[in-house]
Amino acid sequence: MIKLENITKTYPLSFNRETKVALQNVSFDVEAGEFITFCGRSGAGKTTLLKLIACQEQPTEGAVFFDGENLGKIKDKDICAFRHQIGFVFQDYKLLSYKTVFENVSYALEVTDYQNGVMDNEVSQILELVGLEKQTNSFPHELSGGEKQRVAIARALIHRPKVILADEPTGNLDPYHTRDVLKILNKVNELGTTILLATHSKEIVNSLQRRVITIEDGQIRSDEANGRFIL
Amino acid sequence: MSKKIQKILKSGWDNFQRQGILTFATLFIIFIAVFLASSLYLFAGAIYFLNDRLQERIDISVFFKENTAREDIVKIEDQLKAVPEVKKVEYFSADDAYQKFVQDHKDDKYYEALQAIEMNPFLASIHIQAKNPSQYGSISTFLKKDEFQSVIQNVNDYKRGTVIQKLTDLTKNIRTIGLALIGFLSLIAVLVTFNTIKLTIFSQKAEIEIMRLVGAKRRFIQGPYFIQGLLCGLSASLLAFVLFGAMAFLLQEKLSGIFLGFNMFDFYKANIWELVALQFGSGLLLGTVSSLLAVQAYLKK
Repeated sequence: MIKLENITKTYPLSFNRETKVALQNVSFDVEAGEFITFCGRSGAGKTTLLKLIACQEQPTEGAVFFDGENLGKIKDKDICAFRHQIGFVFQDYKLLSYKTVFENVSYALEVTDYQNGVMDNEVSQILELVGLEKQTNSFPHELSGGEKQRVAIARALIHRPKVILADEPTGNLDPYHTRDVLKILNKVNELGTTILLATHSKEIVNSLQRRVITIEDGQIRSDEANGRFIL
Repeated sequence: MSKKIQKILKSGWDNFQRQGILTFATLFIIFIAVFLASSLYLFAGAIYFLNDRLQERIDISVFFKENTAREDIVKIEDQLKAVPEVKKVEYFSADDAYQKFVQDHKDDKYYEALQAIEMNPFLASIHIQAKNPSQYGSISTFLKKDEFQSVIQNVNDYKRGTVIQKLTDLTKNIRTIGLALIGFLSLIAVLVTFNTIKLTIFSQKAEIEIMRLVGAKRRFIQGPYFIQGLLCGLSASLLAFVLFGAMAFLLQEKLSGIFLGFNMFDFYKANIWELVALQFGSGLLLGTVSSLLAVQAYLKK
């Protein structure tokens, strides 16, 4: 489903001509329905990896394929349609601050070609699923961290994406909310959605008992089917 | 109306209502620009008014010899009226001049002096206004023809020649400087407004990124900002229209004294449609174009 082929990504550093290597010669495949955890220290290259898969960045060398399509050759006008196949969950939630909980979730559907009547139903159902049915008219600043993250997850799920990219989704949450978020991600994965989760939390990596790709200094150090935290 | 357009309109209206500080900052700066544009329009009106008033006060006076028959003066008046450069010819008899002097000086020593001589020392005269101040020279030349010299005592233009020229130059300069000032201030207003709106939309950079990330198309991102800019421009123009009208009404008498009788409120009423077009045109244009350009800048990145 997703294939990374000899990916190298460098960023130019300000004030001099040197470059920072974020990823170096990274290759792996992701099968549909997998739950993969990318594990590594801060700055190891986990976020860059997710950005490349989301087509937010282009590799300096190598290619990323999604369902056989080279993302480096995707046209600007097709990026929106491509992004409709992905759901995003971030550590800082990235909610639209002037939209209500309901509107934040429905926005991900509005940008596709969904019917209005169907949309309202779907949004209500998904908000019920993440336990936010009573906060539909609240604004993000009125919610707790855990609630914000559940809105972000609802938004990521609403359009039934093929893949969910979760970048440190529990980074700002307490252990109780962390457990809730992981439970939801597991449930979604059981229903067939591919999950790519970036984290540096030992507890999360060890509790999941799924495929773990460990990244160190921009390179893959290990790729284990039933991996554990090794750093 | 398609569902997509309805969503964009609703989203723009929601943004306008909910983004208090952003809306206020944008609305305020557009209001300042529109108000400035209206003031410059008024200033231009005042300059033209002053120019006309100054020109009205310039004339050539022709004084006739004592005992000149009224018919002879009428003949000259008729000939003058036929001259294309002449705008207005006004006759004052010796009695008219005497009465005017009495009226102007009834409380001072000149009146006593006039009474002391027990006669009317004034001559009959005609006062000529040209369509354009530069045409006084040719009217003066016309009056110096030999055929008129038997009845004309003097043509009072020898000193006014310079005065007329100076006033003409002055009004021209006022108009040029005024228009240059208007152009310069308008440019400043547009630049300040655009940059302020750009800065306020800078706070929306993160929101625009999120919209792009969830797969929103350009039009779907730009649309609500366009509507928001439109609403800000509309509200600012409406506010400027009302406040400018109120200001014109309240200050009309005070400013009339300063600007030689220029009535701000009468000007406002007489030019209301032009002002509406200026205020709403500039407000809507600033609101929509600035927000579109500012969002465009983040969509490119």
